[in-house]
Amino acid sequence: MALSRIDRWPQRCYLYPVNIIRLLPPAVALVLVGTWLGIVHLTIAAIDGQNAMLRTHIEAARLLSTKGVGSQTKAFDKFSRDGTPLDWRKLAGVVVQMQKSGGLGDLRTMVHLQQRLRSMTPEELVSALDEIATLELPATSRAALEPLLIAPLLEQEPALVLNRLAPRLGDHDEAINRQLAIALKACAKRDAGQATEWFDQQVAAGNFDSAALNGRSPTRLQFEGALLGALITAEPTTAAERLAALPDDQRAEAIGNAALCPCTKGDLSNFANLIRSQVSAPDQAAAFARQAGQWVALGGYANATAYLDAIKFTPDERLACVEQAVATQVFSSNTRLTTADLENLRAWVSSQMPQETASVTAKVLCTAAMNKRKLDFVQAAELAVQYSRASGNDDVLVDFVDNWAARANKEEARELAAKINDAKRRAATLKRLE
Amino acid sequence: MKISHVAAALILAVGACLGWHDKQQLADICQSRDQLITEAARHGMLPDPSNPSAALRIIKHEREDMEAGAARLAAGFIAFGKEREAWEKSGGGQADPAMQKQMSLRMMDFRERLMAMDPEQMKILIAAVRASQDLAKETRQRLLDVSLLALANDHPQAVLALVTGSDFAKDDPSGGYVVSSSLARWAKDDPQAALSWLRKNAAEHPDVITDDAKRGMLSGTAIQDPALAFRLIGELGLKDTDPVLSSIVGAAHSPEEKLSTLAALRLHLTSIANQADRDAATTGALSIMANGFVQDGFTAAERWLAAAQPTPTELAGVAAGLNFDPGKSAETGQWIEWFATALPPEKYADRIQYFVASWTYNDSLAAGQWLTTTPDGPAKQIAVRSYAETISRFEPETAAQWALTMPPGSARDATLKTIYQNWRSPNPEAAAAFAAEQGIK
Repeated sequence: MALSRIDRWPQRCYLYPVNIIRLLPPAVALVLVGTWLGIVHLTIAAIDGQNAMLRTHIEAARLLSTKGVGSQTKAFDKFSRDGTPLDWRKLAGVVVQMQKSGGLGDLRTMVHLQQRLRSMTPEELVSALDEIATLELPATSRAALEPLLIAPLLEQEPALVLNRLAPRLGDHDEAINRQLAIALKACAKRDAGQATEWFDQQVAAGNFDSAALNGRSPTRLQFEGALLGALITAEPTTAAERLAALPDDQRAEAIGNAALCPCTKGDLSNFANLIRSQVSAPDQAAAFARQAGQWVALGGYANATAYLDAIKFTPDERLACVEQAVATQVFSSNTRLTTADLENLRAWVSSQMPQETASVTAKVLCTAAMNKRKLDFVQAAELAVQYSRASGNDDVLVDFVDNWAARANKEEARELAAKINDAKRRAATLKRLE
Repeated sequence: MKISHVAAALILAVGACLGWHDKQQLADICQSRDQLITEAARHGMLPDPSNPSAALRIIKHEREDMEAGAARLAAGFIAFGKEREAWEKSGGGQADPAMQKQMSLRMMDFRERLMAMDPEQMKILIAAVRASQDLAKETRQRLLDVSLLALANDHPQAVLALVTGSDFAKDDPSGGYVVSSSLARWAKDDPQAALSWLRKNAAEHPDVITDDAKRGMLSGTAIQDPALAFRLIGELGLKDTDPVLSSIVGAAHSPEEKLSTLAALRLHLTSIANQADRDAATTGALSIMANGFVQDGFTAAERWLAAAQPTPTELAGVAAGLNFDPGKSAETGQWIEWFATALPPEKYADRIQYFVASWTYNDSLAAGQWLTTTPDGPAKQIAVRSYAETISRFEPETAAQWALTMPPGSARDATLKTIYQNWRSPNPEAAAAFAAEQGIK
C-alpha cells in the first residue's frame, strides 16, 4: 500500500539537505562567475562613459582652436561626415519641432543636416526628394522638410528645380512656389529668353490657370514678378511689354512682386518708370508698397530706408510704403511683439514720416492684438496709453481706440476711450463710437 | 566525478571564456582612454587624479589658450558679421547667388563652433560682440542671438545665468526669445531643475522672467510631461489663455503626442471650476491642436478623432481651429459635411459659411458642383447662402438662381438683398430690375 502524504513527509525533509549540498558547487561557481563578469562590465561601462566625455571635450577644444575661422570644419559626428542613409521620417520630426516649438528643436542636428545637404550633389538631392515623396509623410512634415533640400539644389541647378517641381504648381504649396519663383529668376539672369520661354509654356499649358472668382492666380503673379525682376535690368523694354500684356488690375501685384537687387540703382529707376507708365494711378501706391515690404524683409529698416530714398514718392505712396515695411517687419515672424520691436519701428517711422508715428503705432498695436496674434488686447491697450502719455498727447490712444472699434470690439474701445486725457478729444471719440 | 562538480567546472569554463572576451574589450577601451588622455592633454585638459570620473581639469596655460581661442573665434565671428552686413547691403543672394552658399556654409560652421564653446568661453565671445560698435545694431543683435541660442543647445542654464547676471536683459536682442527658448530646452530635459531656477529668480528678475519666458518653460515641460505642464499654469501665475494653452498643446506634433496631451488636458480641465472658463479653455486648446488637420488630410484627421473620442465642446474647438486650404480644395466638401454631422446647428453655421465662402472664392466651379450633389437640409441652406453671397460680386445672375432655391424666409430675403447690393455697382439697371422682381426695397 502506498504511503500516505503525511507518512512520506519526514523522508522528504531528510532528502533536502542532501540535494542542497549537491547544488552547492555549481551555485558557488555561478556566483563567482556572475560577480566577476558584473564587475568587469561595470568597469567597461564607466570607462566607456569617460571616453565619450573625453571625446566631446577634445572635439570642442579642436573646434575652438581651429585657426582659420572661415574654414569648413567638418561636423564631428557620423551624421554629416559619411554617406549614412538619412532617416527622413525622423528628421522631419526634428525639423517640425525646430520650426514650430520656439527653440525646442535640436540645433546641432539641424546644423549637421544642413551641412550634409549642402555637401550633396544635385542628383543626390533629387533622389532624396524622390525618397521623401514615397514615405507618405503627413503634408505638414513634408512641407517642413522639402524646402531644406530644394534650397541647396536651387544654388546649384535652378533649371533642374524648375523642371523637377513644375508638376507641383497646382499644389498651392506656398514654400514650393516661392522656391520655384526664385529658380525662375536665377534662370532668367543666366538666359532671359530661355526662362521666359519656359514660363510662357507653363502658362500656355494651363499650369497657372486660376479657378478663383477674380480670375487671378497669385502664383502666376509671383512668377511674373520674379521674371520682371530679372528683365528690368537686362531687357527693360521686354519687361514693359510683359507688364502691359497683363490685365490692368493685376499689374500692380506683378510689378510689386519684382525681386529687385538693392545693388543696382538703375533697377529702381526702371522699376519706378514701369509703375508710372503701366500701372493705373490708384494702384501705384500698392505696387510701391509691395516692393517696400520685400526690401525690409531682405535687410531690415536700413534697407527700407535705402528704397524710400531712391524713389520720389507722393506722400500717400510714401505712407503706404512705410506702413507695409513696418507690417512686414513686425508680422512676418511668429514671435510675440516686444517693446524693443515697437521702439525700433517707432524710431524708424519717426525718421521717415514723423507725423505718422502715432497712427502707424496704433495700427500695429491693433493688428497685433487682433485674435491675440502678437499681443493680448490688455497689453496693446496699455502700450497705447503708455505711448500717449510719453508723447504728451493722446494721438496713439485715440487712433488705437478708433482702429479697435472699427476692426474688433466697439465696447472695449469705448471703455478704453475713457483713458483719453484731453476732455474734448475724449468726448469726440466717444461720440464717434456711439 | 560527481555531476555537481562537472556542472561547476563547466560554469567556470564558460565564465572564463566570457571573462577573457571582456578582458580583451577592457584592454581595448583602456588603450583608447590612454590615447584620449594624451590627446586631451595636448589641448590642455587633464583628468583630476583624485576623481577621474569628474569633469576634466584644465591646466592654467592651456586654459589661457582656450580663452585665446574664444577671443579668436569672436574676432572671426565679428568679421563675418561685417562681411555679411556689406554683402546684404549690396543685394545679398540676389546680387551674388554663388556667395549665398558660401555665407550659409560659413554661418553653419560658426554655429557648430559656437555650440562647442563652454559658458566661460561664450562670455568672452559675447563681451567682444557687444563691444563691437562698428557693427550695425541689427547685425550685432543677430550675432548675439546666434551665439546665445548655440550656447542654449547644451547649456541653457548658463544662458539664463548670463542674462540674469548683468545688465544683459536690458538690451536682450531677442526680446525674450533667448530666455524663453533656454527655459524650454532646460525644462525639456529637467523640468524640476528649470522650475526651481524659475522660482528662485522670478521675483528678482521680472524683466527676464516674463510671461513669455514662463510659456517657454511650459512648452519644454510639455514635451516630456504634458500633465505637469498643465499643473504648472497656476503655479507660475499664468491663466488658461490661448497663448498659454498654445505653448503646451503646440508642443505635441504627432497624432500620438496629441492624444497624450489631450488626456492631460482633460485632467487639467477638471480643476477649472467655472463652466464658462472650462469651455473656453477646451475650445482654445482643441482649436490649437486641430491646426494642420486640413493640410494633413481628412482621412488622417478622421482617424485621430476616432481615437480621441472628443466631447461636443472639444469638437467645437476642433472645428474652430480648422482653416480652408486651397491645396486641399477637393476635400472641402467632406469637411463641410463633417461640420454638419459633428456639431449642433448653432456651432456649424459660421464654420460652413466660412468654408463655403473661401472655397467659392478660390474655385466656384467645384463648390457649385458639390452644392448640386448635396442633399437638402439646414446645413445646405447655409452653404447655398454663403455660395450665393460670395459669387454675387462676380456673377450676380448665378447668385440669384441659387438664392431662389432657398426656402422663403428671412435668410432668403437677406441673401437676395446682398445680391442686389453687390449687383448695383457694376450694373444698376439689371440690379433695379432684379429688385423690382423680388420686391426688394
